[in-house]
Amino acid sequence: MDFELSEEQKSILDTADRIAKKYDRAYWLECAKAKRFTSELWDELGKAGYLGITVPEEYGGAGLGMFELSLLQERLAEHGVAVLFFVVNQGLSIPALVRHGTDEQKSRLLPAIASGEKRFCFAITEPNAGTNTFKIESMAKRDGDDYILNGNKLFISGINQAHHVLVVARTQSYQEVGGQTQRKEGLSLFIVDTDSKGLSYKPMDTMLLNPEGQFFVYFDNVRIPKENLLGKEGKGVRVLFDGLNPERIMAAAMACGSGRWMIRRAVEYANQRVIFDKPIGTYQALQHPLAESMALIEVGSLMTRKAAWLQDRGDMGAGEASNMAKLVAADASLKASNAALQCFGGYGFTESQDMLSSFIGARLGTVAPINREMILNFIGEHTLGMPKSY
Amino acid sequence: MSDMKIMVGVKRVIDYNVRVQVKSDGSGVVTDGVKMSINPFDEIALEEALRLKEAGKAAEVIAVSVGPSQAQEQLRTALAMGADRGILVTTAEQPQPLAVAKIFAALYAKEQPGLVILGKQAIDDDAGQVPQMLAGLLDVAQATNASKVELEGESARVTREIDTGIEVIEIRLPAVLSVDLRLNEPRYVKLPDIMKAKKKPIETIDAQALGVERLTFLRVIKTSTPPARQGGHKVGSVEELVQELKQRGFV
Ligand SMILES: Cc1cc2nc3c(=O)[nH]c(=O)nc-3n(C[C@H](O)[C@H](O)[C@H](O)COP(=O)(O)OP(=O)(O)OC[C@H]3O[C@@H](n4cnc5c(N)ncnc54)[C@H](O)[C@@H]3O)c2cc1C
Repeated sequence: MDFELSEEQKSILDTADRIAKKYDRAYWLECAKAKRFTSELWDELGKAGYLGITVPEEYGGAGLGMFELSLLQERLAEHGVAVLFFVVNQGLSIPALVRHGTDEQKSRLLPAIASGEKRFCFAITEPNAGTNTFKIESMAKRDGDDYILNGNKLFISGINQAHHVLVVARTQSYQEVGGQTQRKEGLSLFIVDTDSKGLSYKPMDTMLLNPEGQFFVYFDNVRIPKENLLGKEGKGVRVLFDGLNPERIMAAAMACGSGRWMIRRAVEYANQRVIFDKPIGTYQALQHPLAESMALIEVGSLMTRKAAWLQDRGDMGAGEASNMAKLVAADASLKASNAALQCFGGYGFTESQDMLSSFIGARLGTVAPINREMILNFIGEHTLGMPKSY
Repeated sequence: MSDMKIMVGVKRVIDYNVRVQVKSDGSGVVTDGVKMSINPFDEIALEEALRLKEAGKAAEVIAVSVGPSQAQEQLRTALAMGADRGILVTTAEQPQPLAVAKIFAALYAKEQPGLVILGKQAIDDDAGQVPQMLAGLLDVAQATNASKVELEGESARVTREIDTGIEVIEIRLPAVLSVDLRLNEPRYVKLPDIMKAKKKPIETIDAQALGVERLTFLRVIKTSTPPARQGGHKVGSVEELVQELKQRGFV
């Protein structure tokens, strides 16, 4: 066992520090408030070759793994400038494409993704299918050389800033495949251009401060050439799961980084705010929760690295590890943000202190991209061998 | 002079973001487990050399580090930024400016670069002596604190930041330059280049093999932290401020 990072990995962290210094929290906030894409930050990361970390070298990437990608994500979040696209584009769509894309799809799509010119967002959630993914109702019907897609999605992050959307739809309905026992059949993934005819979207009212924003998305007879089916028709579950583990790893990394950021902010504040003639950081009532959160963040971070390492080795244990990492990291981040907010007293609730939005962000981490209950269900069923409850 | 070599100094120093701690026995500062980086002024020197090469004004950029074997890490970073090869001159202890200048002079004799570009100072000891000493030892022209460098044939026009303002001088090559903060903004290491850098050569030479035996000339008696800052106080108005400053004899 060796916990030492390689020169490449250290260098990734170093560059992340520098880029985040140039495009700092103030820059990120400005973009988030204007719901404007962090394009300067993105371009800078692209120029430095960091958007294609996990894209194979023959497609213009660095050919590294989730380990390196999650290091970068955690460090950017540690500076308060995490990019949600790293979760859905780098985290989910790239791994799915790399593993299941045809050579034609990969050479058509990956180079522009690696350079940062193009981005994917991801659409699975529907009004009647959130946690219960298999109940999605969006339908794609074969029509000659095309599929015709109809359906509604919501909560889709950043579709107005993306060039493609990776859509999970049914090519056979839940009933057609035979209901609950066969629910995993009949799902297919499609690469849909966001400027396709019949695709429209409008912003949702999520009260979350991020530059991406969430959207309702409507597919009204959207024609998709059959070349844009990702993986085999009806066997989308395999593709999906090869994207969801990396997504969890990225969400975990982001939670750890944000937790570190909030703790650092709170420490700085508590060490200089004097109440009852002493800096409030002196009081253990504030100190201990921060210290405990710090320890838990370290644990979440370690587990995230392990999950990424397993994922990069193609180890079957990556699913369990990614789930556990996501659970621990999101809980630690929430605890940290709560402890941090307490240090700020009333000022924590002012816009200028810039703490409350991160507290809400940390709270989101226990709900999306997967909620903690579903992770616990997974661990109960698969790790512990207990009965499925739903 | 498009076949010109440029030699650049790359010193391993404590990263500028680290809060430096003095060792409890006062013998120096804590470096164990502390993040080390390229001296920021040296990064600027390297960036300038790379830009000159990219503009077709130089053929090769050689990064040189003098110090412990771990300085390999900083040389690798320099190679990833774009230097063509590295030379690590190992020394038994941290060398002082005159020894470093002598080492560079010995390498200069070997490599015959048209330009040696160095940071104006290293952020650890802030001595700011090597460039001037080196130019003296080599008996070549020097331009210090450069904020702009333009090469024209056998000479260089260098803009310098000096106490009284901006000075532009012209010097003949070969020459030694020391660079200031505003010369350029160094590039980031690009991810694919980190991997390419692994294949670039680093030559290791011991200082003794270059004929430099004596490394230190001064004895450091004690290192201590500066006194803690005295808390200030607020004044109510500009008038009060002026009054206060006058009282204390500052204006
Ligand atoms: C900011 C944000 C960004 C998002 N971005 C995207 C995106 O880019 N693309 C996308 O497709 N989706 C996105 N989502 C959607 C997100 O993935 C879903 O909100 C999430 O999966 C939960 O689905 P739901 O909201 O429908 O909750 P529901 O399915 O209605 O569940 C509600 C709650 O019920 C509980 N619950 C449900 N089932 C069980 C069970 N079996 N056992 C125990 N408890 C259970 C859970 O606690 C859960 O939190 C985003 C959401 C948000 C808030």
